[in-house]
Amino acid sequence: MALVAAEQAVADAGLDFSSEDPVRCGALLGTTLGGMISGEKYHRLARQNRYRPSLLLDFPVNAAIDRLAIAYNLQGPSSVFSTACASGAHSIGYGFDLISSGKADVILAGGVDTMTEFTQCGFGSLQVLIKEGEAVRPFDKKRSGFVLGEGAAILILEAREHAEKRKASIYAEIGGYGSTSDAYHMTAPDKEGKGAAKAMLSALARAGIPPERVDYINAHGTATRHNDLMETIAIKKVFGEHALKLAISSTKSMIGHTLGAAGSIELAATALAMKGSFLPPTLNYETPDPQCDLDYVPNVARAKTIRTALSNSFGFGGANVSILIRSV
Amino acid sequence: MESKRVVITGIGALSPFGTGKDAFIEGVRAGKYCAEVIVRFDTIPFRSNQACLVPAVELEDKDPRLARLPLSFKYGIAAADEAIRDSKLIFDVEEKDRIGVFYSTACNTEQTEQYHLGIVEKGPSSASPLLFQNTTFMAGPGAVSIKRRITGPAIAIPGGYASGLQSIDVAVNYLHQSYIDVAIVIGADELTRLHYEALYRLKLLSPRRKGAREISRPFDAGRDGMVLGEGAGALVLESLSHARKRQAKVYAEMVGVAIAHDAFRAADIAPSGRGLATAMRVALADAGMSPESVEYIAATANSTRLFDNAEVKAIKKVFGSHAYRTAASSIKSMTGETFAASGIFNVIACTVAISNGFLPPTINYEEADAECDLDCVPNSARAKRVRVAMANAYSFGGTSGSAVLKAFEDTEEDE
Repeated sequence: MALVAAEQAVADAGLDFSSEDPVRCGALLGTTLGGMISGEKYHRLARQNRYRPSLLLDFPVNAAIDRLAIAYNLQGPSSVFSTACASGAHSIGYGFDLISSGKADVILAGGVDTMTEFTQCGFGSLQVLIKEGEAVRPFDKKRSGFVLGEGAAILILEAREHAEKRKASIYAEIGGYGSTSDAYHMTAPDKEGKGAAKAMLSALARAGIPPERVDYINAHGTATRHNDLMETIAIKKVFGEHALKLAISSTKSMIGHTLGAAGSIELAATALAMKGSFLPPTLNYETPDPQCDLDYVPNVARAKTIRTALSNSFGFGGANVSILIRSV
Repeated sequence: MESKRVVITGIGALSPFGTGKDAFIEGVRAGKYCAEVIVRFDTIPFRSNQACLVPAVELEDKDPRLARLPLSFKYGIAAADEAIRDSKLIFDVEEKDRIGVFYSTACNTEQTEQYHLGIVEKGPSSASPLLFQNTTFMAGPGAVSIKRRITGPAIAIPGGYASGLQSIDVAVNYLHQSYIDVAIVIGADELTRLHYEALYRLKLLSPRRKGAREISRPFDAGRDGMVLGEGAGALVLESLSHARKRQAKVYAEMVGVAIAHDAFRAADIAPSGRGLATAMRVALADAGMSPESVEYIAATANSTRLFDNAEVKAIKKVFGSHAYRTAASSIKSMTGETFAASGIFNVIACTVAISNGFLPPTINYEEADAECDLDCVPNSARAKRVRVAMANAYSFGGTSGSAVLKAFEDTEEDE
């Protein structure tokens, strides 16, 4: 999946790696599982005393990134970020750091996770998944959790001068990002949303943008009781009155929770919304929750020019990332 | 952008030598070989049965939630605790949103395997929420940040055998960007049956000879594969201005670090060592230092023909004739291949060469190999104090890392 996403991204960017210095090009990937699906196959065969060590070659968490580096001859920096549901956002944030500090020209950054029994059973055991017949309804009063999704998103990050020199079409500019921890609990978010608020504030401060300039927030919005309330509180804390004016929506209402890929898929959605001048909706929104009383763009997309947007990703272990992008 | 200076102010190690950085330093000084017969899991199906394991781990914190964590995370937490104690950081007065945790692992834990096998064998209802949360890579950095109330970034950077240096790379960049003032960097792994089995079935382990010890002998003509190890290394890195403000003791300055990929072939490394050569070259450029200034290299050689040859080729490519004048030893001759911990252990080996006044040896060295003809400090530690040292790491799949360390000189220059 990561390879297919990368292929599309490279074609979309019109990049020709043969004219780039390979040492100045790298790949960063967020994932929670890596090649767990290969590991599952290995275990199943091993139970029948059939050993296929070749399956173990794609088991390690770094296997996908190696394949990306090989496919595009990326000989520069490479790293895997695994901050649970914030993984894909961390990899993009670090790509921004490498480029803004002049350590790389082009970075393929994103996230990937495949559906496995491993996670389905695990999240099932934590009782955060919806039951049969229910829908994922972020910020809705009757929200009861999420469904898992799978996928990959790869973004091509490059220095603005580098992109302009090769006359590339630019989706958006990354202004900065914030990365914090709750230091609270392994699987539950801090109820007051302090870490989440701090991540958004850091992203704004690093981009040098006042909160009032933000038009849209692509929320983490998992549709669990705790997350959506915490995120709403955090947004109010950061934006004050402006919280009522900006639009917020959850991509997870449509595609489920893609875990390590979520941060990158949702940043891609944010950039596409910016480019297409629309606000993506929060699906399945029926019953307003008095505690979650902001504009969640219920059910249908809305035309709107977005100049500045944030994409939030919060994960297990209390990792919070917020990335700010602006139109160019 | 002008880089901030970054220094090492705390060291922690839980290694096959035992608990603590002193056990590590003394083990390296004595050239102690740590392999023993594995009792942790059944090795009957295999024609090898030895590894370099951590003798014991005791956590200073008796919290039952930590007691349930996998060995690997206990190792990491114990090493982090020691590094923090060693740094004399006082958490009560530190701004905790200016501290970050960067945590690498390369292998799944035994608990992850149990959880996984449970689902495969007994079905979904066997999934336990407690076990599941311990399977996430965030369990390590999450536990460290929760325990210390650290509210800066806490990030898991899992990967291959080079991941310890990948964590250092991210931490140093976060310090350079002024996102944080202090970074706690950890590389930790436990040896599990599945990992052992995987490398055994891929024919990468040194085979057992009747009654004899399996020998890790990097650079030796008779080397025949890895002996596996485990453990955790931890470092406290901080901006010089922060270290100076609290008058911290400085082990060495971290002057350059780089990660590179050889873009060669999946689950393999380029025999030419080009990825590692790139990492060394970029790390030196990052440090603004010439190859000739490097007096010691903590090599990543792990007693396989593939890795050791590639590293020697890479060193020759970067250093030219100076390759024969610098020393390059592999502590994996003593500790075995310690995965994510190995990159951190190699950085600690560099601080030993810089501040303890001796070069760690390559032990078990008997027969010279024409392809590995560098000065590997054979068999016993050598009294020498160096000014500049380099730590290497190379992983299957092609990621490699290199860090350049320098003896600390407290000049006024800060930014």
